[in-house]
Amino acid sequence: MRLCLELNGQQAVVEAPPLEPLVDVLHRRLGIASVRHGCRDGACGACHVLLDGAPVPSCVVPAIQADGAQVTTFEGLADDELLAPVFSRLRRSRTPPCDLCLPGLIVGARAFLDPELRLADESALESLAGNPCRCEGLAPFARMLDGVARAAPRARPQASPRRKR
Amino acid sequence: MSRAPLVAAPDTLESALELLAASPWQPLAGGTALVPALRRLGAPRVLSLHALRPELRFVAVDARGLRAGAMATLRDLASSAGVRDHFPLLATAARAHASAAHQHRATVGGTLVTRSGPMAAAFAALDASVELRSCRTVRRVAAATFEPSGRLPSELVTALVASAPPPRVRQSFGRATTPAGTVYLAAVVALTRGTCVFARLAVASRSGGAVRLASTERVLTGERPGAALTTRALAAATEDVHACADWRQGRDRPWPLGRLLADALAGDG
Repeated sequence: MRLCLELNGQQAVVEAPPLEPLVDVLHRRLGIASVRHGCRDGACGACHVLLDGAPVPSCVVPAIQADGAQVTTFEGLADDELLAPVFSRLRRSRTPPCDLCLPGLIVGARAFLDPELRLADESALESLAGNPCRCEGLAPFARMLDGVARAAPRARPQASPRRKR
Repeated sequence: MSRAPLVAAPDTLESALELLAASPWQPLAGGTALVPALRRLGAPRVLSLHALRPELRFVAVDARGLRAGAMATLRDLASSAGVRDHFPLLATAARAHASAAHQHRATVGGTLVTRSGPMAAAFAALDASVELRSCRTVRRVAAATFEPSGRLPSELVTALVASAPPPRVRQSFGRATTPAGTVYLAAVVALTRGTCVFARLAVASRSGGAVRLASTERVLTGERPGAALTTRALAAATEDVHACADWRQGRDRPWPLGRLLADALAGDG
């Protein structure tokens, strides 16, 4: 099928089987290096993307269900306003997460920092439970993220790609 | 899969039901369980339900109770003010399901069919029903006893329905790790002047549905909570015919399920 989606703010058109997992469409057909498959069961977080603004495991999203959607990956979040403090702290960190987990963690962090997506009493550790970091564990990143969330002004974030379908 | 399956994506519930009436299709909702399974098992025809969200993605709570469309996500349940206020058990169970990313994809209909542990326990304790529609019929089946094979090929799961709990009811949810695996307990309990006047309890493991602890409910009703009552109530929990010998003989039961039960019974009444 002909799949049309908005990828990191740009229109993308690609041919893909309708049940091909979105992770394969993004990584193999559209060259998005940050989105990779680890478990293919939605358990490891390596393939997480924002689909219409919500974090999802792209390995369990069939291509047909992403047709017409807004997809945001790690590459599309480099200049994100809400993530600026996160990137700043990661640059200063002596032990940042490695490339395997980092893209999924950043996608999850973006969702967590969006007050419209975060539940009232949700902690970063709970929100990012689908990103089990194997280098130093999830807890240090989650603590940092909780700190960023507490310090963030209670203003609406820049227009986040969210469209309830 | 040896041959690519036929895939359809109807954009109305009516057209989806017409397709199901004509031939068997494998419905595909959020895909968190089915997409990995399709890779291993395949299916000749797959009916993607994503275009039915305008009709089936809703969460409605009023004085009569809850009605949640089959395409509502678990995150929709967890973030609904109405669910949090009137069905907190459901909101808590939805947050206990996998991770936030999964909750944004997993649907009410999908978890009814896969009988995911936390949601299955909550559905059973709330005495919820599954609504199934075909071109000609609408029927409801108790969620606690609903099995995937109970859906006729011409039917689609369209909603979860739960009546408003009785007044002064406390809803609680807990999970614990036992030698047999993770156990989820959902409880709907009412205490009046320190006496348990109403109890509905369900336990579930990670998958495979929930079991209502009807015998335990009978033991609890009309009694004052305490350690001795908890022990008696647990000893009565013999409904799980698939439980291992240790569980059935009570060696696994006192802890931690006892702790979960004691927590459920604690409270003002």
